[in-house]
Amino acid sequence: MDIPTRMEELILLSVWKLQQDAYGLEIKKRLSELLETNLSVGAVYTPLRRLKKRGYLTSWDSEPTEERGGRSKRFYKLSSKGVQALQQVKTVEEQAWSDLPELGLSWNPAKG
Amino acid sequence: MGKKSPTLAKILDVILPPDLHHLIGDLEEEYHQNITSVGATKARLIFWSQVIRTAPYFIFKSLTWNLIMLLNYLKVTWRNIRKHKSFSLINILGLAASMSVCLLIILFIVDQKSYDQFNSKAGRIYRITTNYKSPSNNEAISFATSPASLTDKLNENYPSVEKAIHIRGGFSGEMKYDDDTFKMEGLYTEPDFFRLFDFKLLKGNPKTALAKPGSVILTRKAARKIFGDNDPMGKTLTELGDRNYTVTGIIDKSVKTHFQFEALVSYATLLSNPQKQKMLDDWTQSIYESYTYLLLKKGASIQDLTQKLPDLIASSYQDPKKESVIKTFQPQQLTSINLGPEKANEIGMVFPAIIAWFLIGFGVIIILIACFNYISLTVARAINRSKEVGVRKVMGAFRSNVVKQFLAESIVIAILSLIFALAILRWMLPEFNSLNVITFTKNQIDTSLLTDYYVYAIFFIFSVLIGTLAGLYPALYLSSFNPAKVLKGITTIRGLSAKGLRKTITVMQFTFSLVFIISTLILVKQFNFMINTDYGFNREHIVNIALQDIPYDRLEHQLQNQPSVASVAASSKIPALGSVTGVWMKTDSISDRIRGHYFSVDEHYISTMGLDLIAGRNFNPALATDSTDAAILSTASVKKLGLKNPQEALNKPVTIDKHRCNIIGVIKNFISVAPLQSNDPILLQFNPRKYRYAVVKTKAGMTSDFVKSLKKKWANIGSVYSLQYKIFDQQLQESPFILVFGDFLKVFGLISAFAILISCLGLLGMAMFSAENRVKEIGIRKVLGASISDIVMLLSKEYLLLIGIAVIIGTPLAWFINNLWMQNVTNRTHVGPLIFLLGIAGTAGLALLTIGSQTLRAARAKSIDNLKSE
Repeated sequence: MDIPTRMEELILLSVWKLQQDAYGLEIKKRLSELLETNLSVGAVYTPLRRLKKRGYLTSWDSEPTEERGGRSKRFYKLSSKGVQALQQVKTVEEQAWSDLPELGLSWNPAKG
Repeated sequence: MGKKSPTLAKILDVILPPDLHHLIGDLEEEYHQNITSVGATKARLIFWSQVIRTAPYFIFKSLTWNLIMLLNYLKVTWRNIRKHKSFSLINILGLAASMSVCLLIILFIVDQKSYDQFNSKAGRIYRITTNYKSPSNNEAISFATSPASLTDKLNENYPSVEKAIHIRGGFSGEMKYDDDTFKMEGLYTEPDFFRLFDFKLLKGNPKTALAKPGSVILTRKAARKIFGDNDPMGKTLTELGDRNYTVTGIIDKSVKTHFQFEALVSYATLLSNPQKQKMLDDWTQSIYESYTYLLLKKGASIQDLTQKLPDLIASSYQDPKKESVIKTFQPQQLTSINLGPEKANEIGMVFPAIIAWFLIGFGVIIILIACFNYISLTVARAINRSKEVGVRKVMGAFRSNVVKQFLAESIVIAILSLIFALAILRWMLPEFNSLNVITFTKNQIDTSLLTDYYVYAIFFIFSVLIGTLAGLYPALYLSSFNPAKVLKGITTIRGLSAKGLRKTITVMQFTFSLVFIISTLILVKQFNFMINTDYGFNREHIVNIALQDIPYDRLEHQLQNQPSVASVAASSKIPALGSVTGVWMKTDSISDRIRGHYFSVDEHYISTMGLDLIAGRNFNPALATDSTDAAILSTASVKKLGLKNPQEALNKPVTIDKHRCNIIGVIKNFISVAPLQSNDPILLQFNPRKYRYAVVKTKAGMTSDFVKSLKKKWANIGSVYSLQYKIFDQQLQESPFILVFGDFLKVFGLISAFAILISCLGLLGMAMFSAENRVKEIGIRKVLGASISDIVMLLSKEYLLLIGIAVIIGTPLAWFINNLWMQNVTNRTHVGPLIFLLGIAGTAGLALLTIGSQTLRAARAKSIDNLKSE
């Protein structure tokens, strides 16, 4: 089973959250805030492209605007496949987090 | 509110695929947001840091994208070229022809500029040249030479000079070894020659080889000539009429240098000869053949030295008689000598810079002509390709993409032309190197250059530049089409009206070709005229013999009774071979002195040479005053000296070089220096001390007998030298002047051939194009009853008009240009309307042939096929 990576998952979630405002800059801003770090352009856009290629996201370009030097904005939207992938990740994570033993500080690994 | 994009963003725009433009947009948006939130500087910082952190990604994307685009352009270009094979071929051939000429010029200049670069110290080596007014001139000119004593003064008094050396030209003699004699020419210099220049001594010690008087270093070629394969070291060569020399070294002269010599002789040889030493000490005498080369100390500046030189002139180089004046000494860099400023008395056969500029200018003209062809042909086909452009644009291409597409096309064509041009070059190079001017001056282009990689790199860059130059206008023009209009079929050709441009270019090309063809024909006529011209004297059956060390009387006595001899005379110089002795002549009838050509002859000269004495008398050996005061002038001298006619001139005084003489006779003019001028002022005097040649007229058909007996007589005559004689007729045919003129003619003819070739190619393309475009029209006309000749006339009409205009402009232009040079030539051939008609007929004929081939083919095509095609 090929699940999205952590970064990809976070990006997919951001796109979901941002709805109509989901374009590169906003996604980068939100994620940077979330992770409390200054993400580079490449760190966000490369996964975006990959996700688009995989079919988890679709994109569309807007009309060019002047404050962008005459370039258009590319918006992203979650596809049904993307939603599925997110659900998969969630399930896997829940399973991984379930039935964990008590973590006491007195626990030591067995000496070999 | 106008927001400015950071320049970096604009750069990224260009190098990144359009796909990533939204990314750049995001960065810019962030930048503008940041300006308001954290200030301009921090915003720029953030922007830059983002770009740098993503740099590898950008670089990768940019490279792959550009590569794909390039491949795509190349694929489409190749397809286009193959689709329009004939047009492409025309373009390629035209460009190839002109490129090959330019490549040759580039090779020549690269080769010439590399002379003397083999010296490791070349950057610090200078030559002192002299701006000097000699007694025989009214003006000061720049000499490559300098006074012999300058070297020692530089070494002693100027600390910035590390070493100055003596070099002197003029070593020329016959060297005898065993029983053979060989002519040898070379330079005198001293051991420190090898301190400045990195010539390799294959044998011998550079420190000592030129130390002692009578030492000589030979080039490998000279050594082989004299000694064959034997070791020349230590052997003795005897110079006829002079001293012995010992071979002390063999030098490798296979490098490219402006020095020309077969032998280097030790300067000490001159110093050990009291006569020569005296001459060297007198700067007004030594200045004509001595050269001063110096090595500057590391870190010293040549300007420092130059500033101190005027003081040196004032203190040591003055002439009390004020006839010889040194204006300045000018240091010249070693590497600026070749293709540098023109100087008198050069040490070798050096091409001055003006030749390079002339060649470059010429190359530029020829390339422009070919580019015009390309431009006009491409623009003409614009209509046919406008649909292509429209489709591209609709499919999302930006104008810049279309421009790049067409530029790629022209660059590919230029590179293909390069391949053809190289083939043509391979043929042209040996032809160029065999030009007399080039072989004589030993300036051949080094053919090994053709195997140098960096030469091909230069060629490649050159062809890309040409492709860009030629393709720029068509690219911009073609890409400007509005796709909507074009696809609907509306084609309005705006801008520099394509048709107007085409017509102007065609007229220009043919005018240029016409001028060149007519000029070539005139030059050919002049050349033939000069070869067969009447020199004003006997040229047949004359043998010139150099007297060398034999008194004229002794030789004359031996020869005059020979059965093969008709008459014998003496002369100081042989006319019409390019060099003359000059004298100043003046009478009271003119204000300024004039320069005359001087011959010292005996009383038999006029009859032997078949000159025409039209007034007065010949020299009389019985009259003592004849050998000091008598002068015989030519008709041109009479005229230029202000004496009205030959009869009037008799017994009048004339001042020859400050000596007052009496005119005793007048002869008809003859050619004294070169076949171009038949009207030079000539002076004959009777001065036996100046005789250098015996001039023998042999009886008809007995020249070879005479030569045989001459050889026998010379062997017994008591000369240390070997016999030097020449058949005058041969000398005239092989005179350097004729040879150079012949070269010039060859080059000119080639230019004309290229010009008309390129012009016709252009015309061919045009005719082909318009015939193609009017296929339907022709079909309809034929159906309506037009005959083939009607159609041909119709299609050719506009071109005939253009050719007509070219003829109207070109003919008077050709006449005017040629008149400019012909005015200065006194011995010129008659140029009648026939030559012009011939030139016009040739040019127009070729043009008609070109047009006709296309129009005829178009007219003949079956009308049904024409109308069917859609």
